[in-house]
Amino acid sequence: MEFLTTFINGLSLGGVYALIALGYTMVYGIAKMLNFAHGDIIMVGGYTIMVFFNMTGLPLAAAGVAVVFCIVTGVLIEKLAYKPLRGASPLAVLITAIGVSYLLESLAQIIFGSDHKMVILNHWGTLEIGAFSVSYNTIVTLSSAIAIMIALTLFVNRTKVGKAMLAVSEDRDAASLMGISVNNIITITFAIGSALAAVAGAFYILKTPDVSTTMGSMPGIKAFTAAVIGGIGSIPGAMLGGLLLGIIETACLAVPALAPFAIAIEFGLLIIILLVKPTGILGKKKREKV
Amino acid sequence: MKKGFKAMAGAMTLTMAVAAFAACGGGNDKNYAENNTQFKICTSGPLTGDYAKYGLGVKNGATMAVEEINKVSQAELGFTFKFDMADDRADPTEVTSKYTSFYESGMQISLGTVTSGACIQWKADAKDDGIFMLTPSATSDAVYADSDYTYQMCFSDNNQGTAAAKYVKDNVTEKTVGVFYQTDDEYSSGIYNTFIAEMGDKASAVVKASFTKDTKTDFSSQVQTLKDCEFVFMPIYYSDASRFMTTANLAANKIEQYYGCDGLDGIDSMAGFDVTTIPQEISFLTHFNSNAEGGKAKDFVDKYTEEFGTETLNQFGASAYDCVYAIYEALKAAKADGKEVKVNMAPKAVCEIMKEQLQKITLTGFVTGTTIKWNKDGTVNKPADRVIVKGIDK
Repeated sequence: MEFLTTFINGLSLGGVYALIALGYTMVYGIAKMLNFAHGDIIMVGGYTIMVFFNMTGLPLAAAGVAVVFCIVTGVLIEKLAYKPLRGASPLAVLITAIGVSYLLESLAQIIFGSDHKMVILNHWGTLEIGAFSVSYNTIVTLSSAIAIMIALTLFVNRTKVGKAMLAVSEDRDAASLMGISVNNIITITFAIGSALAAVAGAFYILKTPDVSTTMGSMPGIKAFTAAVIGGIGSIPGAMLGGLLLGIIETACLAVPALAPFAIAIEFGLLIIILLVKPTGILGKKKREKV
Repeated sequence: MKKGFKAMAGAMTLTMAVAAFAACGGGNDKNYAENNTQFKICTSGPLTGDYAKYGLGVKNGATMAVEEINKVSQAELGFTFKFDMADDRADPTEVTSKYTSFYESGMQISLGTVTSGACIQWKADAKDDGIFMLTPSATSDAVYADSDYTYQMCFSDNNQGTAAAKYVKDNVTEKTVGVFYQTDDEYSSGIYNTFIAEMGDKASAVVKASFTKDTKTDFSSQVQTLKDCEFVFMPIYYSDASRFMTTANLAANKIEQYYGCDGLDGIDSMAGFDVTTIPQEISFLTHFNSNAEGGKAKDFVDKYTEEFGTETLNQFGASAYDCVYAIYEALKAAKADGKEVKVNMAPKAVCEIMKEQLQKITLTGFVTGTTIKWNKDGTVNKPADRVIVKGIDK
C-alpha cells in the first residue's frame, strides 16, 4: 500500500513537471527555441495566485486570474524579446531567454521582496482506504493534470489551430506557403505554454505552500530534463518524461538511503537515456539531406 | 617609439602586480584603528533576503546594547563604542569585501557574521589580521575549529546535536523517533550527524527522511516515511519546517511532537503560516526564551519590542545583545587586571587580551544564559532551554 501511495504521489508530482515540460517542448517544437524563462512564468503565476488569493480567499478564481496574467506576460515576452530575434542565431535567442528569466526574478524581488511567502490554498483532507492514504490535493493535481494533457492532445490533433501548429513544427516555410501565419501560431504557442505554467504554479502551491522568486527555477530545469527525456518537441514525450521524472524523484525520496541522491539519479537517467536514444524516448530522428 | 611605450607599459604592469601581491600577502601590521575616537565593533549578516529576520535581529540587539553601554563606558573604560553592520545576504562570496572595508576603517573586534557559511569566510579573512570574533549565531563547528580567535555565543551544531540526543534519550523513551533534515545544508547535516552519533545503539531505530535544496517541491514522500513516528526531530530552518508541517496536515500520520533546534526560532511569526493550524506540539532547543516571565530575558524582550516591534524578536538579537555586553565585561575585567585596552589599540593586541579574558571570565545574569563561560575551543558553556511554541491539540 505504501508503494501505491508513493506511486500516486509520484504521478501527481510528475503531472506538475509534465505541464511545465509541455510548455518547453511546444515552444521548442514550433519556435525552435529553448525558452529558459519558462520556469519563471510559474513564479509569475505563483505570485499572482498569492495576491488574488489573499485579496479574495477564492483559490479557483485566483488560479484563473493567474492563467490570464501569465498568458499576457508570456505573449508580451514573446513579442518584445523573442520576435525581434526571429532570424537571429539560436545562441542570441538563448541568451535573451536567460536574460528575461533574470529580469522576471529581479522584478519579483523588487515588488515582493526576497522572503519566502506561505500561501495555503486549500486542504481538502485525506482519502484513506485501509492502509492506503493519499491527500485529496494530490488527487486533484493528478486528475486535473491528466485532463489538461488529454485536452491539449485533442486540441493539437483535432482543431484547425492545432493542426496549423503541427504544420509549423514540421516545416515552417511550407506552412507559411499554405497560408498559415507563423507569427500568430508562435504567439498562440507561447500563450498556451504560459497558461500551462500558471496551472503548474497553482499545483505547485497546492503541493508546497511556498512562493518565492526562485520557485520556478528547479521545477523548470527538471521539466526541461523531462522534455528532453521524452524527446524534445514531442507532446506525448513531454508528458511521459514528466510523469517518469516525478515517479523517480518521489520513489527516491521515499527511500531514506536514496533521498540525498534523488537529483543525481534523475539527471543520471537523463544521461543514460540520451546515450541509448539521443532523441529521447519518443523523439523522432530527422533525416538531413546533404 | 611604439616599442618604448610597450616596454614602459610592461614595466608599469609588472610593478603594479608586485605591489598588489605584496599588499595581500600575510596581512600587514598597519594599525587602521590608530585614529579611532570610538572603539569599533563590526559584523556582517543578512539584512535583506531569506534570512533577513536573523540579520535584522542581530543589528537591533547589538545596537541596543551599544546604546546602553555608551551611557556608562566613558567613565568605566575611557571610551564609547561604535557598532557597524553590513549586508552580506548570508552569501559567503559577499563577505570578503565587507570585511576588508571594515578592517580598513578601523574595526577592532567583530561579531563575525550572522550565518555559518558566511562566518567561515569571515574567519579566514580575519586570520592574518588577528581580529577577535564573538559570533552571536554562526553555529557551525567549522567556525571555532582550529583557531584561537573565534568564539561563539550560540550553541555550536555539535552542542545542539548532543543536547537534542540527550533530550530524546531522557524524555522520548516510548515513542518512535523520526528525524527530518537537509543533507546539503551544513547546519542541518552537522546537527543530524552529531545527533545520530550521540543516540548510540538507539540510532538504528530512528526513522530518517531528508531533502536537498533541489528537492523541496514536494514533501509528501518524507511525510509518508515519517507518518508512524510520534516524535519528529527537525534540525532545519523554520520555513522548510513550516512546509513539512503543512504537508503532514494533509496526510494521515501519528506525529505528536515536532522538536527542533535554533533554526525553528521565528516559526510562530512567519507571514502566512499560523502555528495554531498545526495540531502537533512544536518546541525547540534554545538559549533564549522570548516568553520568559522574569529576569534579564524579560527586560530585553520588553525593551526590544518597544523599540523594534516583535517581527524580528528572536534569539539572534538576544545573542548579539549579549555578545556586546560580553565584550564590554571582558574589557572591564582586562582593565582590572592591569591590561587596559585603549580606544585606538591595534586589533591584534585587543585580540590577545580578549582571548585571555574569555578563558577566565564567568558571566552571570545575561539574556541568553544565567551563567556563561567559554570552553578552550571557543564554544560556549551555558544552560539550554526547551521552548514550547505551541502545545499539542487535545
